[in-house]
Amino acid sequence: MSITYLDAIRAAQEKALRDDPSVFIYGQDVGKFGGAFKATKNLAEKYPGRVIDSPISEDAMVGLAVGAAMEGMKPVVEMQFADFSTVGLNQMLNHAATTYWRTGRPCPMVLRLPSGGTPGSGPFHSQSMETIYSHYPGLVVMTPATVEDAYSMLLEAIGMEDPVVFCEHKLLYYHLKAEALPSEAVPAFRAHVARPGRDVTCVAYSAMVHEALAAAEELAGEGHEIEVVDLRTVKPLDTDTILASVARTGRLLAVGESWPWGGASAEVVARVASEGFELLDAPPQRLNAKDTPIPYHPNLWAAHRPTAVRIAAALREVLRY
Amino acid sequence: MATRTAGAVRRSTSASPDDSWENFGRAMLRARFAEDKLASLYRAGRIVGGVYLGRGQEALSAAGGVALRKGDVFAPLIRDMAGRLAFGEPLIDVMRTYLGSRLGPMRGRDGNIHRGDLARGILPMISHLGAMVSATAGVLLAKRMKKEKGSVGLTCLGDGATSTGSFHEGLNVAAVEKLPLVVVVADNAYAYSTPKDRQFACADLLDRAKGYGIEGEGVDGTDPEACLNVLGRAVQKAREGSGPQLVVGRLLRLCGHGEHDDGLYVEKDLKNSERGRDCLGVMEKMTQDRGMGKDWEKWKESAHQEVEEAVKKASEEPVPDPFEEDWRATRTQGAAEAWVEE
Amino acid sequence: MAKEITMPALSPSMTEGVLAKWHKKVGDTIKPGEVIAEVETDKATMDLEAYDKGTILQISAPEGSKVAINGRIAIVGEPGEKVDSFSAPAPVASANPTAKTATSSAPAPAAVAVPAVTAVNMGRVKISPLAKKVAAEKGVDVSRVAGTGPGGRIVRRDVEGAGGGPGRVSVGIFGGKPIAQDGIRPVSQMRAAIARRLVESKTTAPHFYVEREVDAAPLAKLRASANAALEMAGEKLKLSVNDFVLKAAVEALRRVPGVNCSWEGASIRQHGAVHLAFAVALPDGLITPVIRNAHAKDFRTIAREAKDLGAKAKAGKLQPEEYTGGTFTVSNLGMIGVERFSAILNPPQAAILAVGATVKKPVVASNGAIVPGERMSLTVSADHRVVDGLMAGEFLKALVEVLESPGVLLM
Repeated sequence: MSITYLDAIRAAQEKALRDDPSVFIYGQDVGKFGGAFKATKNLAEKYPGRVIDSPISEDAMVGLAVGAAMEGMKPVVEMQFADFSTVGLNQMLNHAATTYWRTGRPCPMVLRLPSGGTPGSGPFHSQSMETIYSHYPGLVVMTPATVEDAYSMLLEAIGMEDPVVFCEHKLLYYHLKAEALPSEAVPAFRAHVARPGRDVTCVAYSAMVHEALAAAEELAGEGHEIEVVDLRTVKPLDTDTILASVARTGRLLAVGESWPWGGASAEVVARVASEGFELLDAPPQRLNAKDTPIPYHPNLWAAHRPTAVRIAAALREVLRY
Repeated sequence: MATRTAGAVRRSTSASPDDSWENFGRAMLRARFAEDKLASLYRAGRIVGGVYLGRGQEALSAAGGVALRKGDVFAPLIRDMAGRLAFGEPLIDVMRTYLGSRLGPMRGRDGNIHRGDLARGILPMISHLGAMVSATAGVLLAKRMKKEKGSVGLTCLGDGATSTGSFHEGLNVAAVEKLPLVVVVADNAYAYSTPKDRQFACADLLDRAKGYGIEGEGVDGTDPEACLNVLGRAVQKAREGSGPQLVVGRLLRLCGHGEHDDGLYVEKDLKNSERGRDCLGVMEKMTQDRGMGKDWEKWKESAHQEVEEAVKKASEEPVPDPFEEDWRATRTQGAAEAWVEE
Repeated sequence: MAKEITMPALSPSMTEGVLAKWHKKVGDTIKPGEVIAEVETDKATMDLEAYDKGTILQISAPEGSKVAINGRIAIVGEPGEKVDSFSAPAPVASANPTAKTATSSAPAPAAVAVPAVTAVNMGRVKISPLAKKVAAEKGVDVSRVAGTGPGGRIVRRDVEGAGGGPGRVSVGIFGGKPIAQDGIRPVSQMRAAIARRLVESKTTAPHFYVEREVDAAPLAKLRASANAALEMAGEKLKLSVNDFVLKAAVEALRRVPGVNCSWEGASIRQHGAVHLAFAVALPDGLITPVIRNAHAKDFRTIAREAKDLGAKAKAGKLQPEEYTGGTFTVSNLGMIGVERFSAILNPPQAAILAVGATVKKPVVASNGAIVPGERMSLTVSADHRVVDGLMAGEFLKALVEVLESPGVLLM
């Protein structure tokens, strides 16, 4: 039985709807149509009144969720594309994220963001938004890279008291498959060593984990063992796991699909430079997409984001030390 | 009538709102005196941050507050001291927030008009105008999903706030969901210094109701009796399932945008027109006409006393201590990262 | 108990206010809520209300003065109370100074000495944080460690040593000191000129090379006896191998004059005179002084001029006419032990002779036996646009003949 990353997301939502009557799903086209990516297929039928179509109003969608969460429900809001969530940014950053701080009452909601680039998706259907949401205090930001994590972390997110931004990668939706859903969950806030190594710590998240693993494979052929760390959640950052890894390797490359300035990769580098200074045998580096809007043409797009080839080249540079 | 201590407002034990003339009048008086006191304290340098008053808008605001009942949700905005007090916000919470007592509802983390109390059904506003419309709608949607029947949500804003995308999206979604939401627009002709003709092009804000497919009614915001009737009607309609209701009250601010502002940009003719009359003065006359002139005097005295007591009490309370503060913005274990401070 | 009345913040953006008007003076009583003054803020003129009650004991900010937020404007207390327990109020600036300028001049930024960026090691050891820590733990002296990281940075492996030994890196008797001071130096005029000319020569002239070894024994014998004769005659001049080579080159050119040419693009210039250049090594490069009209000079003259010009070259005193205009160049690295090399043409000359050291080696005698011999390598680089292989070979043949029967050189 083969389960895709998207199937896992649907399965998690179904389980949540089944187990907790306070959960409901809200988004454009999520009802009968089952969602633009079919993440809620058949759920409206099975759970009438709890999978609700919204108008094209990202501000009101998130605002509605905040109010509903204040009143004790657990809304799961699906943005059609992460890129559109900027319209609702105010409600997420200034309302959802400040509610617990200002009132002492948490705001349990999940914002699901279909994120990341696919060939031809262009500047407004490809963005990775984890940096912006991580910067404001009060939110949890998850970036699952595997089918198992898409399932268990979404369940954990829905059950969490705090507002969670759940960044799902569109490239992984249909292509990443697993044999079965996990029976045990690894806590969301823990990073995972996806591939152990000894020579460089390559920290990545979401689709970049797979690129990093491919780069590690290539370098293994050259006699270098690259340790790949899958962050799983970028806020909070599992600094302990990252530092333990750098303690083993002495070298760091942080990879992210988002833009360089102040990204999650930059945050990893800053922390390791500051808290793990004496562990470093080489300057800590990061590799990100080019600092331009995401191009449409597949040729340009492929050159814009980090790939296994670019990651391998960056790893070789770090290995000079 | 049950006896009461100075300033305590009797909340109904039954499910009906306390829209009695007394509750209404006292809310307006308490609001006016509390705000006069706040203005005075501000000018004496005792208040940190901004002070924004609702002077001149007490009738419209209080009318909304008295029409609601326990279990409803109220999302006030800037000039709703009267509505808050009518809905049951304790005056001590007001003074605690302004005077910086750490015992206030926001514990120093937010201040002045942003105060709220979710346990009482008062939503703490965020500064971005229009944002509270969809949030209030969300509360109502949740109540519906929990099968709670008969609750109403009421949110207030000014003419300027109706220009925001948030207002539009929020009211639209409330209409689509047919939620029992009453949106009260206090049309005081100015958003800070911006006059109406720079804010919108429609002749009357009430026309917008049609655009959203909802009902609406206008009211003279300086006429307390009219306000009581219109708000009562709107809340009732919403409660009965007629969907969102828009109420547009015409009035003027009788103060600056904030206490730092002298409001000299308001056109003199407008200021001196009927629209610029003081609703409290009208209320006094109306109360006297009902033969309750003596009560009015008692209400005034009680209000003054209540305000003084609240100010005194709050002034003596401790302020927030940054060293005792729990500097975490999330509740989940491990979600707030341990930052190395020193 | 006397208390200060301070300037309140009457608007969020206010940093200071002007005390526009006092409604009270010293000795007046005030009570809470009473308007005691008017304050001009950045937005409007506002009433200032009292919070305390008492008697004004001091007006600290006179009308018209500007006071910062929280600055003292008055003191209130009981009548007759002393106010000297308070320190002097914060200085108030007059609101309308006559010398007020529209823009305040910012102080000129302090001249920041920007250190010259050089890659010269300023005495600090380039080392990674991890290596530094490991070195400290193991007691390794990092100044003696050779770094194998980029830029010579010491990294962990350098400090830990290969093969997992006890930690000390074996650096030999010379220690881990760099072989030279890391650094950069600007290109001198001479270096630039050499670079320019030789790049042009090497990339435009099609060089080809012909080579022979000459039997250096006859030359050695002749030189020895000539030097002995000079010494006996009390002459200071001592003849070097190269002196003979120079003269030999001239004779070879006399026999194969086609080599004494220059490429001029559309034509080839045949030089009737031999202006013989020879390479002299200098601290910063090399220079080729020219013995003019060498074809018309005897051996002794050539030898003497070679010495004089060589000395002048080393002293940096050559005049332009002394190092330009050569038609053929001889370059000798024999004194440093180079056995064989090929030189780069000295443009616009068509040929150059590279001479190596005399080497003892087994040679085949005329009777077929292997005997010890002395051989000196001669390599001619020629410009194939002007000189072909045969002619180059003929020139070399002539050179060898002259050098192996060197008596003619003394004529």
